[in-house]
Amino acid sequence: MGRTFREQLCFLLLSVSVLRGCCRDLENNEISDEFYSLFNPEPRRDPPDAFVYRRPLRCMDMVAVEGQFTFTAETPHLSCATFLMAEPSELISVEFGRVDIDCSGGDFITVFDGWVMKGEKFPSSQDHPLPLYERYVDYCDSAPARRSVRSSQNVAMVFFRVHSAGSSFTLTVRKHVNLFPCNAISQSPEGSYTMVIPQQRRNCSFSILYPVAIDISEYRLGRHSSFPKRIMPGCTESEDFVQLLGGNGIDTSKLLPITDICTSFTGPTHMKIGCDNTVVRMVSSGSFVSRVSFSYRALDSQELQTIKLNNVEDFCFNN
Amino acid sequence: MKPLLLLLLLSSVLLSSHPRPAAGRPLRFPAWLEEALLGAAPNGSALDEAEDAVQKFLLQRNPYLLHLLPPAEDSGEDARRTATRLLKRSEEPPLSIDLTFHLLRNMIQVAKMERLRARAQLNRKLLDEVGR
Repeated sequence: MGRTFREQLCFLLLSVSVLRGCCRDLENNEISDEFYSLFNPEPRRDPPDAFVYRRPLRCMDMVAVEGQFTFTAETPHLSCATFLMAEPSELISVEFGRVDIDCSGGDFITVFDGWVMKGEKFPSSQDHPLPLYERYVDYCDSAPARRSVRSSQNVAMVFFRVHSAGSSFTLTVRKHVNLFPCNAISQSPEGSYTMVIPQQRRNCSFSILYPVAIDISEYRLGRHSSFPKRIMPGCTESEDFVQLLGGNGIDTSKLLPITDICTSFTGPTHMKIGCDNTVVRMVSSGSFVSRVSFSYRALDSQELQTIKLNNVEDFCFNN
Repeated sequence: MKPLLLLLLLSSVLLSSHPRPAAGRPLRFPAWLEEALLGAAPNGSALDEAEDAVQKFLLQRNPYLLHLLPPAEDSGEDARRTATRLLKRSEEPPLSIDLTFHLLRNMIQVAKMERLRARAQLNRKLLDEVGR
């Protein structure tokens, strides 16, 4: 082999080694991969196992945190329910895992898309995108592909029944961002919220489970050139309006209307509503981008008493 | 007699105490069964067809229910109306919890506190990792 060829070959080998980055000493970062995975901006399905919240599930329970919840029956439980709740701008997903129940013996685990209380459901059938039978997902009836269920709003419910001691199951609850929340139940007795319907023909409700003083600061119908002029007084024939509803149940279709707003305005509209459930409901024809902003705080006992004494139509105090 | 049998078959299906695996879902009757029941006249072959339809439906769901047939008396029209009402009632959500608003609010507050505690716990674990 010629000397020049040997030199060229050595240079080539040296260049290749440099380009491959072969080093004798490697820096080893001892911080766990699990920790750094928390800061990974790419969406991931499962959090590191060490950081998953876990606790036993009770027969009657309310869960507002992500995690894994295991129910183990020590005695037969024939009527159990777990309420699931997230922030108004979030959705909830429930995944069944390690299920050990006897479906043929009458056990069941059913996820409902919404809340059911005293036979009334939220959202109502008028406001929910799915028909009623599609809002129930029964573990015993569903195919393996439907072992994970996602809600349409920030509330969901799990009903279950187990006949035998030792039966158990695990629910994995996760929360997801909802870009255009429509129906929601407030977790707090006070706060503020803006509801937007982006040119869709739908109805959306925001439910506050308290008697509140509410300030509607803005209602706007935008992005359409030919906004119809109001010919008739009131909101009777309007297809876009905001309702304030009140009552003692969670089904918005059974609440009584307190007031309707059907023209755009900016400026506070202040009201005190002494009902157990106060709802701001927006009806949209789909012709406009509808937006309503409001803030609310719970009434104290003195304000409630004053309302009760002054109110001619005391429909919220008829129990 | 036949309208009565129809009514009793339907009552047995809906009011049976045996929970089915699908007990968590609202009862859904096939469209052909609803049409058969709603279109059946008090007399005539249409009612026989409706009764056959109910029997066929019950055999598919739970053959045991066919044996729950005590005799009784009723007029055809009333039986048909009652059967229709029972069908409509089955569309209501079958599962519900009776809670007062006061109890529900308390449960929400407890769940919120739990969420804050879980968040604090997670933050402590994260800071422990950073501190290593």
